[in-house]
Amino acid sequence: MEQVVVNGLFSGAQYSLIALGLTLIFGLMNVLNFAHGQMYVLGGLVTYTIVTFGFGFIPPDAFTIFGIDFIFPIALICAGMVLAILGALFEKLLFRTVIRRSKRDESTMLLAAATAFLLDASLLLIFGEKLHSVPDLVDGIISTDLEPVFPAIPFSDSFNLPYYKLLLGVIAFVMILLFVAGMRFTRPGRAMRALAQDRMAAQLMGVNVGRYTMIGFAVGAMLAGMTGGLLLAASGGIQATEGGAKSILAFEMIMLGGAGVTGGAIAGGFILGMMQSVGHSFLGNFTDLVIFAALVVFLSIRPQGLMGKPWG
Amino acid sequence: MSLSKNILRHMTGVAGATALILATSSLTGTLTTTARAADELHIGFVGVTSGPAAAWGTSNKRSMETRADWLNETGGVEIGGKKYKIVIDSFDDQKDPKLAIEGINQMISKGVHYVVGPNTDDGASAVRPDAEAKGVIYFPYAFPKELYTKPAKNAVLGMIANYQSGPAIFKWLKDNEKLQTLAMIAANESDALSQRDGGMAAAKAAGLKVVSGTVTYQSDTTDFAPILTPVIKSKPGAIYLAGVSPAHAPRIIKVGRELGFKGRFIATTGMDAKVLKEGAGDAANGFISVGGASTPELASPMMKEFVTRYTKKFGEYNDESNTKVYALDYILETLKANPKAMKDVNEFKKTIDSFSANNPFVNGGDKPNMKMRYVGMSSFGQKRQIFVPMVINEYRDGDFKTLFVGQAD
Repeated sequence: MEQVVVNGLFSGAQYSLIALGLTLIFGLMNVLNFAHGQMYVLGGLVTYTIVTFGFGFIPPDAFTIFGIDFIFPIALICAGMVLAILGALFEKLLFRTVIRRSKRDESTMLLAAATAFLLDASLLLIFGEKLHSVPDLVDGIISTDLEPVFPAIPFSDSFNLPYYKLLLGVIAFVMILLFVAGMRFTRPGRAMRALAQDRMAAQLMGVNVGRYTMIGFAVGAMLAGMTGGLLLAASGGIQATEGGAKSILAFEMIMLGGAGVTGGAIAGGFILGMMQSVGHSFLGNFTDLVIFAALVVFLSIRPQGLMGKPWG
Repeated sequence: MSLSKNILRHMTGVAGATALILATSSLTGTLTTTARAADELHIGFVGVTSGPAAAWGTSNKRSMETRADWLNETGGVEIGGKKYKIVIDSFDDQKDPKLAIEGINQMISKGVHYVVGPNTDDGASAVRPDAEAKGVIYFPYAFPKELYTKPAKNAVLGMIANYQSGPAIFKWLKDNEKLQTLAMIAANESDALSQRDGGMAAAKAAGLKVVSGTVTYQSDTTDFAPILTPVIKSKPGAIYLAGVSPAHAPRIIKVGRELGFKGRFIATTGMDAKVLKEGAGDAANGFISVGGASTPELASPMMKEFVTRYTKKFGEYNDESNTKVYALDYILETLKANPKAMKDVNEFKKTIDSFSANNPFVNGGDKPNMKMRYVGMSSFGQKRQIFVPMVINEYRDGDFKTLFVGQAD
């Protein structure tokens, strides 16, 4: 059972990170960013490229100082920057134009779908169809047999957790904390929250809507990119074509947690991760069926999700 | 008056030219089937080149393109006393049977009657009615026996099937490593599930006990720890990854090792050593899979040149292409053996039974047991499979090492 819990927590941390950027963009702009998964994949592939090939004239092993390899964190930051720039460009050149020209909500959704297809096709062309992976950040596995320690606890057994997953879990946790703190305590964060809560009121209070919407889109894309880089190392690699599936996964989490709510995305991620882990051990192949049936029933009772608002 | 005469004369000229063009194109349309232009022979590829299984179709397509370029560079292929430039027409079916049907019909509308693919059971089964009704010989990389046993007639299996390699691998493991128990996992899609069922039957026939045989995963899964945890708890001696795609295998193997599994992983699909090395590293050591139909000992100079050309053209090589290089040569050599098959696929089918040619891709390709020929009598009751050596590989330290070599028929 311990292994099931560890699996669930790890999956949950991954899922929460995937959903955060999507929910931020939705909250700010009311845009369902269908290209979120593709942005995640692009971040992963940028990270892969830098970790594997360095920066062209600077090889990756040039970043090993005192025996510690810094190429992965550098690549992760670069992936975040590339995606932030891409997100800002998407917002300024595409979404802002469409929102100005069309009053229909579905126009932005269709544009988002088009950007997803564009990124999908471009990524496949540039990176090919193969799985791209990077070496583990650290070696070794924590292996514990708890059965003799807690014999009275039913389902008590052993669990294995590689150190690199533990490290990535900690990084994911820190990223989530930084994001939440940034949204709560910084001026741009407060401005974005104000925009998400009431766009008109925020504008009347002097919030520069255009500026902060672009920053929000850039931060959402940056989160997707850094998550892609992080999970490249956590899930054994990344494929240029897996963006669509990641978008769907992110949608599941914000449906569960509540669209546009940061806490909802985090909660949705952990709930889904734990349900999957427990389900696969006790429900076998019926896991997804049960999860989706439960989600449908839940949404029919509480359409705004766990933490979403039922209005607006 | 003179103006109207001029117009009349001009119109008569245009009409005459149009009639001539129409008559010529109609005549050409009647006479050509696979050879669309006088010097071009179009061969089709319909298969998956995007998504998680893209590596299967991509290696097909790239093998065909590499070989076609090579043949064209040397002046093309002579069939019935006439030289043809080989042109590969490709269609990505995205692993979707509906698109596979569309792809086959697109080939038919282009006058292409010899097609490599599809790569999946669903796709290959879906195209069968149109292929048989409209005269297409196709070379699927799919395992359903119904495609190759009578009354089916137009499909020719392009590789070794899992029900041929599975029993051989299980027997080898039982004899050499005293394997007794086995677990199986499969993607929740028809190809993998049918391979799992075939594997189940083969394991039982080999006297192995299947301790976990029902666990499946969605094809877009990237986190395999929750799925593998109950499988490993069943304490299998080996885990058979039924129909596993090259992108899933490293992830499954790596997570399996992290969860403490020490036995062998087995697959009866083709794998990519570079992807395994990058994705699973040393965790993949000992992984058994069906190799491309070549080993360093078997590879002829021509196979080595093919690998060089492929690598130069695409910047990488996939071991699976050692198998996939064959289909185009089988089509061309059979057409050479009976040029009437250029216009009539029934002639191709007649030639299958007696066809034999030296195998350029293996050393000793002129020996009877290594020659290019159609096989499949024991599996399908008719010759509907191309002969390729059955190479069973073991992954070790970044490369495939030959575990043993067998024959399918």
